[in-house]
Amino acid sequence: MKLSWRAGTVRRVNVNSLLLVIAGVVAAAIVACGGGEEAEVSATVEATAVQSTATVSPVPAPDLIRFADVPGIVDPTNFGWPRSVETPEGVISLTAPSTKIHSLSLGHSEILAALVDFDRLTAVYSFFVDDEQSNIAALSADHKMIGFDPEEVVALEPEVIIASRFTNAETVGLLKGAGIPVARTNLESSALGNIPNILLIGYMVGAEIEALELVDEIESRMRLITDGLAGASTGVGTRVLSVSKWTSAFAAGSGTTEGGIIEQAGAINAAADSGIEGHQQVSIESIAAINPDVIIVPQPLESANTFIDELMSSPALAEVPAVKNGQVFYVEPKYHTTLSHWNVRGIEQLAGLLYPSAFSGVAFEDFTNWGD
Amino acid sequence: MTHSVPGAADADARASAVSDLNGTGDDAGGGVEWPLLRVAEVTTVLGGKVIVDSVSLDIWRGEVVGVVGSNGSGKTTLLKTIAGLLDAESGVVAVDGFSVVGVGSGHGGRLGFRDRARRLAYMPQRAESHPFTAFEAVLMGRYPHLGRFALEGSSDREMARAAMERTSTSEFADRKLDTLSGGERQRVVLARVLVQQADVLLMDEPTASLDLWHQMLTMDLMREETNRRGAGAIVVLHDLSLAARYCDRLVLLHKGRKIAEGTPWDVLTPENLRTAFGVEGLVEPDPVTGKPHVLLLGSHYSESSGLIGTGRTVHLICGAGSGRQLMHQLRVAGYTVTAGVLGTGDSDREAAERLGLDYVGAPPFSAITNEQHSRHLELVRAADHVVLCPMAVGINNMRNVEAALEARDLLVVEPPVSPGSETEVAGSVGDYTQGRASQLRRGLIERSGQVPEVAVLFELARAGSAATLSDR
Amino acid sequence: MAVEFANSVPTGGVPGSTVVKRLSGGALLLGSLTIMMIVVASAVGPFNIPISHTATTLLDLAGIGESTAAPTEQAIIQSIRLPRIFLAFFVGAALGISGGIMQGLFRNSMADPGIIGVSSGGATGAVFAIASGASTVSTLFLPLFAFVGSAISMTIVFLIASVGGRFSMATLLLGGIAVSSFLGAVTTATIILTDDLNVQRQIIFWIAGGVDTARWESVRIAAPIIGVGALITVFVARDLNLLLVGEDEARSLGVRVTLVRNTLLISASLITGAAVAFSGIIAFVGLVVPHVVRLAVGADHRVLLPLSALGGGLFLLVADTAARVILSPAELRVGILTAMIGAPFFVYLLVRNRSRTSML
Repeated sequence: MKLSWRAGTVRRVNVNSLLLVIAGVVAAAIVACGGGEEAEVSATVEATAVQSTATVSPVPAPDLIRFADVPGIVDPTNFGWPRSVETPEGVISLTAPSTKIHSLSLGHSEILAALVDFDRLTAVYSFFVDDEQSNIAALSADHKMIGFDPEEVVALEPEVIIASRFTNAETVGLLKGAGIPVARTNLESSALGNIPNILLIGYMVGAEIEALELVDEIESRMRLITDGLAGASTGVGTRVLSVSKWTSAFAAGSGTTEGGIIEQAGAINAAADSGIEGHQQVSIESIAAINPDVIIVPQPLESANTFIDELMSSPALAEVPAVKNGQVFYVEPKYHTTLSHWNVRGIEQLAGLLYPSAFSGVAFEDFTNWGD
Repeated sequence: MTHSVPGAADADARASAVSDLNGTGDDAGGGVEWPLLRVAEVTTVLGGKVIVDSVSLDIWRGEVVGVVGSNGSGKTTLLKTIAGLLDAESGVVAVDGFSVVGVGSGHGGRLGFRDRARRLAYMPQRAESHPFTAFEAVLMGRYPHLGRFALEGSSDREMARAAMERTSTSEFADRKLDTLSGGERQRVVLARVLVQQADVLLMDEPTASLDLWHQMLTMDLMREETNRRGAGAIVVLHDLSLAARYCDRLVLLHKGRKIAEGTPWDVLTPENLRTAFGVEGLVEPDPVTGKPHVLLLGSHYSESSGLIGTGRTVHLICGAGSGRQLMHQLRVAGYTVTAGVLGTGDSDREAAERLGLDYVGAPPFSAITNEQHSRHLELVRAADHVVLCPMAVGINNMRNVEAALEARDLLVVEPPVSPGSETEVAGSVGDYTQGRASQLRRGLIERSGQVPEVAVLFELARAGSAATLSDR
Repeated sequence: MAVEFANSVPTGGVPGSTVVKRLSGGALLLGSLTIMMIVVASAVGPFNIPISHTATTLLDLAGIGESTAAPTEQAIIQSIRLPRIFLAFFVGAALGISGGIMQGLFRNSMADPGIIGVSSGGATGAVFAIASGASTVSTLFLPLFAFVGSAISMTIVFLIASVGGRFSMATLLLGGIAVSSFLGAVTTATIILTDDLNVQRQIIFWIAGGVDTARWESVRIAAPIIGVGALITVFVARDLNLLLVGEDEARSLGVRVTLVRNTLLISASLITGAAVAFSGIIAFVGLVVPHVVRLAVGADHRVLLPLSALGGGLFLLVADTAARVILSPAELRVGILTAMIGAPFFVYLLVRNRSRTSML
């Protein structure tokens, strides 16, 4: 009896160590793939929905019909409480607009900041306050900050947790195990593609009107870009390379946020064009081989400038059009590496850079947060 | 005096080194004889414990000195200290008057590392194991003779090949050492010691893992080196007879101190064996070499308590070698053994004499006298057990069998059965008394039973413990 | 813990086959392969350069004829590919030779250059440079900090091994393991606790090892350290043979054991430190290369060490060239590639030597 029990324990330990090994291999593979996905990867950010009881809208505005197309809303005609959403973590029933929303990702937090009073978010993470990387740095600076231990999240007693697909499954499991509803929603690198996610989040936290307003703003801003691009006679087909240097240089290939921004700004992602998928390490020579017309460097200003100097002074790049024509630019990483409506600012900025004549006189402004 | 390379070192320096080491401070003239190796009052401390305690020793050219002693007596430590592998706490070691160990440098100068390696070769107890081939390992013996960037030349390789020939290691010259057996590796190391061509060979149990033939080969080769080249050697050996046979001089270590030094006959005395090894031993001349041959009696021989036979006396009635083996076995088991009556020249008497037993002797080929018989009876009556051995009985020793009647507790030993022998029938012994002896013996067997010789000790032990119980 | 040297493969050297013969044979083979590889590596890469242009550019650099390549092509060959080729070679050589030294000193073919904490010390130094922002001040600060980290951790391990006045190789090894574990924890803690994702990213990539950031400046700094260190080891290679046989044996054959051992440990550590400083942690080169060389030419360090240097240089050059072209125009990190080759080989060694595996 005792012996067999012991044997069972030993086996379990072995399974655990096997899992550890697998985890290690996976981690190595992620590193191998050139540094993982976005800022979200390491961040395991989260979004929660807390809703103020104030935003009661008894008469749905006519365009509430847009919610009918949003995947995840169980009953798109129900704008009262309780309401239910279906996410990959199952159906979650929300009894009232939550005042204790916890968001696990920067992107979700940025969206929530636009939809609801930031105080309805239970806490922020340390990297939210970096004003080069985050669009909610000022809001976050005054907010409660926690570490990455799931226990700290549980201690906040959030009513709902919003997570992204990059959130570590174990964390999600732990939080669900603690009895807190977790909603995992997608975040898209396409500005328009992200609209359903914004609407879903708005629905979850009872900020339908704010969500619709934000969506409208995104759509009108993107229309402005599209119209401007249509009017741009030159520069169509410009090949843009987004590259940053963290010890080694990494280019943003297909499927990346930066790549999406380049394409939405009417240009060709030169890295994806050269066959690079995701973020991949590149050398100076690779950049020469990619031969972009424009290079953008979405990383903090100081290190960006160092890297730009290196690019501009490299004799191997002297004949690359971007370098030869002085088309190597620092772009603000907070617009390029997040996953939220703020990507639109990156698109606008880049479009303005690429097609100055088409957007001359257009003053692009920042998005506003709730209450601003 | 700063020169450290000896070469043609001046005799004055050497002489002064010796006189200083002697501590006599007498004339430093060129006529002073000095040894090849001088070990002067060397003390080695390991882990706060004195392992070698002020040992002095001189080796002369051509001489082999054996170092003997029990485990932990400091033999290996002494050798390692001489070799410069351990730091001496105090004392000096000098080769040819050149100091190699200790603070007493500056006499003939202090030898550098490689100079020392050309003069002192060391063969450790445990043979090395590594991925070099045997040939490479042997060739390493030439390193002290090569300049820093010099490579082994053809003469070095020739020497290595010759040494491997001599140590019968040529056949595995190209195999890696970690694929060889312990004995094979030991011979490879021996070959290296040979090519090192050192003046002094320091060998720590060079025969430890060798078979008999290679043991002889190793010792013969060592003697060859001393005889041919005038090298000196210090050899640590466990086999005392081997040591006596091959060494000119022996040094006996006990608890780190040198307790005896001299010729094998001087050193290998029963008293020294008792002191240094705690064994009772006999030392006899080897029939061929005349060198001492050590016969060991047993591990607990001199102990008086805690053994199975402690406090009990066994009397053996024997003769003509019939009781020899039992005598020794009983003694080793702790019994007090007595014997009788044994005629001069009888092998049992010789054994009793050597073992130092109390016995009744008689002149050869003469009948037992009344006086001898009564002394014998005293021993028989005094003994807790009497063992009657299966000896041949004639008129002269008939009274020995009769004495058995007086035994308090008697064991009769079955005569041995020699297979194929027609003359000896199981259960019978030589009887030259017209059957009187046999009749008496049968009567004794009826009374006490009969046991084979191998069962005697067990029977005695059983009887002994029964007696102990009844005593209580 | 220890796995002794593999043994069943013949040395290939018959008695009498000289050091010179084996060394010159091996050096000729590896040297010509290296030169061939330098040419190949100069010719391939994401940027397509016609082979004739590469050839004339190389010849031009060697002082023969004139390059027919376009300025960009010349620039790519001269300022991108060649520094990287040389850095890869020197780093590989450093790891190969110091691996050979450590395996000899520890009498264990599973020893690698980082065994006494040099690599993890370098990593900690690099982490410090990245986390403090020093690495953005000058490109030389990262290697400098890494090198200093290596030196400090090596010193600490040395002091641990010398406690009580008597130096012990076993303590050195265990101290190395302890210090490595500690520094590894420091590095991991920095990654986990830092607020800055970019810092995390840089540390992770630095640790993964690579020579992609090579510039002539890196070669100019790393090569002399590695070269001088390697040269010193050649002086004492014969003594290392005897140390591998045994300390007592070495001493009684005239080796100044302490001096030689410290010389070797320090120069191997400095060599490794220089390599780690410019390349991060590149796994398995220092383990696998000396092992293979030993199987081929035997254990004599006079042959083994120079050939391990050449072999290590060649191996890392090949691996880095592969890392450059496999995913072209993107790259693999060469540290990952060497681990992918090295790890299975390591397993193979373990399995092969299983019967000889024993505790230290």
